[in-house]
Amino acid sequence: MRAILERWTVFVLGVAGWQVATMAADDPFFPTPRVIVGRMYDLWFSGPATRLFLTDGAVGNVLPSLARLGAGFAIGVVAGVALGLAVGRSQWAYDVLDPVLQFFRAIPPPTLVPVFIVLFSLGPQMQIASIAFSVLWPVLLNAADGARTVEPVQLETAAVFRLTTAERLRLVVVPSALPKIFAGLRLSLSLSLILMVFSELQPGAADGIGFQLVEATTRFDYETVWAAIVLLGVLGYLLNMGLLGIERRVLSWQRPA
Amino acid sequence: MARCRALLGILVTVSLVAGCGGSDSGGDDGGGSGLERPTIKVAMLSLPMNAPYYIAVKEKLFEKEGLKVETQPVQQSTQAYPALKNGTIDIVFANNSSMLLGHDKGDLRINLITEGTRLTPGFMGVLVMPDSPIQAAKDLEGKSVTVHVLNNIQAITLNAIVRAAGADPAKLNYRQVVFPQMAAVMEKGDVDAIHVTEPFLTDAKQKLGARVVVDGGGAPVTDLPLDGYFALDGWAKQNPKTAAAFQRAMRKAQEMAADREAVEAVLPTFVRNISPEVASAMTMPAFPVANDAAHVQKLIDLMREQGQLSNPLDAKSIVYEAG
Amino acid sequence: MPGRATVRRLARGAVGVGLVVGVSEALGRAGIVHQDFLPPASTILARAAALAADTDFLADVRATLTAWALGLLIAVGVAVPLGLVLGNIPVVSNAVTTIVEFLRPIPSVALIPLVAMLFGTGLEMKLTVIVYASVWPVLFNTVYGLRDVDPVAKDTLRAFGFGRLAVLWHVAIPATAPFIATGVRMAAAVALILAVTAEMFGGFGDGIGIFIAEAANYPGGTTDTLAATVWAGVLGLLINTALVRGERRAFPWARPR
Repeated sequence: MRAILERWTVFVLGVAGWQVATMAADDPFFPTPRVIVGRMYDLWFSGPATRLFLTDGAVGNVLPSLARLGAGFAIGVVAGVALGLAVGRSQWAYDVLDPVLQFFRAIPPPTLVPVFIVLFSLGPQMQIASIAFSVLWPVLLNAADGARTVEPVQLETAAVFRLTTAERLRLVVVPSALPKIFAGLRLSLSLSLILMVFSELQPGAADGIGFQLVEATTRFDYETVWAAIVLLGVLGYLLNMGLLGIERRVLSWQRPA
Repeated sequence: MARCRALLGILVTVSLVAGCGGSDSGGDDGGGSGLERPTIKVAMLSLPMNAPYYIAVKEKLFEKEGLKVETQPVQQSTQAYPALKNGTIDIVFANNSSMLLGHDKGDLRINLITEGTRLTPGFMGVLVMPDSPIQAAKDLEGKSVTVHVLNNIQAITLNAIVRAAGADPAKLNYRQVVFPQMAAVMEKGDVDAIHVTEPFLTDAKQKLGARVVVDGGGAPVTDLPLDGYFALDGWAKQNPKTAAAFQRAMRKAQEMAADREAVEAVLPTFVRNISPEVASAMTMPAFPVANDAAHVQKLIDLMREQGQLSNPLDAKSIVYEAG
Repeated sequence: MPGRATVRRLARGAVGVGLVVGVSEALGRAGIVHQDFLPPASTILARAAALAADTDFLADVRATLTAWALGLLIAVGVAVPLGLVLGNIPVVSNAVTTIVEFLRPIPSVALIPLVAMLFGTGLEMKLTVIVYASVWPVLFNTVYGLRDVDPVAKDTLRAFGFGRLAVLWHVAIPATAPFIATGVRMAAAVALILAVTAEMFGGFGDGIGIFIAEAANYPGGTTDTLAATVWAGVLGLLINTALVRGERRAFPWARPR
């Protein structure tokens, strides 16, 4: 309890310090937190109570962004875990794919726009695809690593009990790989947030938090730029906390090896 | 918390220190030519419409006026705005509608030192695939059209053309796609039509057999000023001789650019990889040899009409004239 | 002399690469769009090879790698000491957790417009963006590694009268070193991606990202864009391989994550 209090006290102090510093600096590039929060309220949270206080702007930008984020993340995770577990179980597959995977992981996402724009249709499909593409690699590599490092004792036990492949996967491999998979998931979550912003800078984007951010830049509307940045931080924080919660719950079911 | 502030502080300090050596203060040595700033920095794009500037560089027209010009290539003029604002860049080549929008909002008050290009028939156009049912501007109602930047010059001009043709521009579905990707997107059928400028226009015609349905440079928007060389409001007043020298050099260059061969000769020096077929077939914009506030006013009025500018603006207050 | 196992692994890796090239070639020639818009792999690879002889492009590569190296160095220089402090003083660590959890998810990309407004678009902007994103993996891995330090070893030294700093030096740092190395490897990948991305979005000077952005300005530039992308991916792959090997050699006892 005290820990939580400590944490939030420091946080509040930090924000207060920020407020004082920006008020003193009086620079149009650095609006005060109060102004930023006010802008966030105007843009997204001053709507009717029936709609959870969301404005049209929020429904039209924040929700689509989150929806694409969710879809891209989900697709990337499912594909990554499935492929990763398969690759991890086979040393041969791992050796074949490792250089290729490391290569794709190193490609800066915006450079692939010409490819995505041809392979997928303009708009949400393309955006979700680019998010999923970037989410895929860390999840895949971590799942593969997790599948590779299952303790031999467990595998032998599974053999003794003559578990089928499916049962072995479900009862031995997956639980053993879960910590690594979750590590990959956490990384992918932050990546998907980044990619969500990227994808809204691409051709065919028409809405979204990233879209609003860039659009505000061209209008020199710094307050909206900061509002979008703060919103991204808050969303990232909430999503991370959510994932951590799930991780704790899932991993607590696991018996220690 | 203190750590994070320190972290940010370190970051900022490092960046500032790293940047200390970088800024240019080109105006201090006075020089024999009597110019307030004998060396100026100009942020330039690398598009074919920038040919006159590069002609000026090649023919040393700036030196003849006693001016030394350092070119700073950028991909989009927006990237130079911060530098313009803090003085590291003196002049930026930018598109008029963007600059007018910034000026109107009060964020970036500017002066147009020299006009860059004016719209000619055939320089921009709306293209469709050969088998498309769209034949004229009216058919665009309810269809998707790509533009390079939303709510900018392409939308402004196309709206005017569509309205003149008796259709409702509000019924056009604009999608934002950068020029190089427009043809691919249309080929796939993701959009119905693309609004492109040269050299992408000629390229799409050559590669896809695309058909022009609307001349983006036709009436009523022919001769509209598209872009120019801008400086901050007040820069010209502080550096009158420099501004006049720049204007004189650019005017000579624009005259030379009226000769197509001169332009085609200089294109390869600053545009990477333009194919000769496209270079010889593309339509050139008009390069005006004198600033004309009346033309700029036409653009301003059009933007006011379409609700993009909220304040009235007299072109004469931003178009610079030497002397 | 590489052993048989290494040769076998390289051969399998080559198979993987060959597969991917084959698929890309097929895609490019499938006629979805004109070949200029989605070039087949052979065209891209030929152009990538040709770029190796292009002095302008090599200057771009040098510029990107310089920004990358500088950014990484600064990030490590900031994150490791910070991590050591945070990991050793639980009170401080706990206190800043919330702030860190809000700052970390903010995508560096979203900050580019703001940073560009402040610093223009030269090296300072690139470095700020690179450092901001690269700090987190190093920081977290350092702190994580410190938690893994054997408390018995620490207590033993304390019992012998060694002060806190000495404990740090003799026990904590050697134990944490493998984790820090992993963090640096992850940060290296992030730093390269951001170096190229920052260049693409903030165009002054030289750099692979600037080459890519310029290539987008003329028809038929997709081949150049993708050729430079291949370079970026290969560079990332080489850096990762070199760092993994370095890690294995320096810390043979630790399992690479």
